[in-house]
Amino acid sequence: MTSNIDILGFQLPFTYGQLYSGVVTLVFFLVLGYILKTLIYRYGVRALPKKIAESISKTTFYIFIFIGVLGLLGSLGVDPTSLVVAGGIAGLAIGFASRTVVSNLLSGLFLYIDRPIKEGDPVEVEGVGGVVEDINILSTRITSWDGVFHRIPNEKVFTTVIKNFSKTTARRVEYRIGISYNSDVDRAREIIYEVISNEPLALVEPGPQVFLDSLGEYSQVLAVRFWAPTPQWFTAKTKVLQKIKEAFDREGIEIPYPHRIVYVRESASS
Amino acid sequence: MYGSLALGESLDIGGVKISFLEGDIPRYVRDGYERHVAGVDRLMVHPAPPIYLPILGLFRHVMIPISPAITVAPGGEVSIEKSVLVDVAVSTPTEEPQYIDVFPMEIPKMAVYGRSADGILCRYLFEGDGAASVKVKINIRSDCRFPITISKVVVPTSLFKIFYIEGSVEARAADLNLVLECDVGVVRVGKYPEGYKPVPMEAEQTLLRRMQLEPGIIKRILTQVEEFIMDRGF
Repeated sequence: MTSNIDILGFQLPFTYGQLYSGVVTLVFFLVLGYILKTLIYRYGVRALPKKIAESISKTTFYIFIFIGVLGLLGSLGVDPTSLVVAGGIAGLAIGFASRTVVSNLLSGLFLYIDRPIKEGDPVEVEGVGGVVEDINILSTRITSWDGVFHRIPNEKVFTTVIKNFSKTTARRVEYRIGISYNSDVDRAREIIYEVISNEPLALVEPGPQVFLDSLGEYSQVLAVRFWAPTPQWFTAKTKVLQKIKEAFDREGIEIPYPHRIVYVRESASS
Repeated sequence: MYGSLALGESLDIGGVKISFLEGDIPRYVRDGYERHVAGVDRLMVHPAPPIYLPILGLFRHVMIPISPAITVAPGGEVSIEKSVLVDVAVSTPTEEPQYIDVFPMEIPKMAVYGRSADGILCRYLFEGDGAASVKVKINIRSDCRFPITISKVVVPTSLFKIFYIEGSVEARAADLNLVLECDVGVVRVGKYPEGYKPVPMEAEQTLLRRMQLEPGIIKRILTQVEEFIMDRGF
């Protein structure tokens, strides 16, 4: 047990006793790491999002594997301090290289805590509008309205302006509709109010507003505002505008297109 | 008129004609809507709980407007009776009914109770008489030391329990008791009407399939609550 291990005449620089103690150390840390990983996940998942609990428990396990390997190497006569120094230098290099990764990871954690968005939310992040498919530890995945997959690093999501379209109960729909100067503003307002009151998705409270907003170059501009339940906002917006156009056509309210009247002055000589 | 719609019969409900037509497979027909219904010789016609229209699953509360508004003095009590418009349902006369059709008598509308940012989306029950109207008695008592003006009552749909009489268009909701406590109002269900039949309700699983929702969500929607706290104004 005290002599070095000999394999096919090749002398290894450690004894069976050292190997045995090293393996025991490694197994001990592996088992301890596994138990801790399980416990951390089991209790962590109650307080934290599943993915965070999973990441923390896995990281703990890897740290214990690392300690176990250090223990094994130490038992085999390898100086662990040199490994630690080497590891430290390597860690520093990796640290510099993985600055973005760490930043994304921390941003992911803060996103979980702050929860400005969650899976399934319709959002606009970094100019990408769509539905959040997944928020993992490094990135947020969004499928845009036109079905394109986007992966946005969490660091960007955390530092940018996020528009979450599902956070409120109701959203306001707003149009600006120009009618010709020959059309009756009051009649146009009546028609719009009627269209809104006949639309189930337009809310009774908060109530709708229709008013003359400005006098344009070629049209009287009516501002139309009503509220719709957030999940049905887009449907309400498109339906009501279509119905207003149809009602205006029926009632003879003209929506003018841009036009300019040009007067040509003829000179006396001509 | 509420009650049975036998095979081969037609009914007129507030100007809406519904028929249960004979054929290889019997057909239920209303205006452009049609549905084959097999295995039953009649259908049930009754008021619908206000959860289906305009969109099932979008809201979990109803708002009953009180117009003109009532100002209740400290310690004052008042009972009012409102007639509000709900929808009509046609269901199978089975132990666990399935709704074949739900149609409105007026355009079904919604309102937000509270702020648009974080308020509660409600089905807005317009006042009105006639087909598919439900009478509801609201007992209001003020425990507040200053007068309170009330213009609406909001309750979860599970507290707005509807009953009806077969062979008539008579429908009533269980009484609602509202206690005003200055900043908040507490609404509880009061007396159930006597001689009326409860509206048949679809099973949770059926509603779940209809809404295409996860079980957790449907549970939250259908959770029976004892009372509701009106804490976003009156």
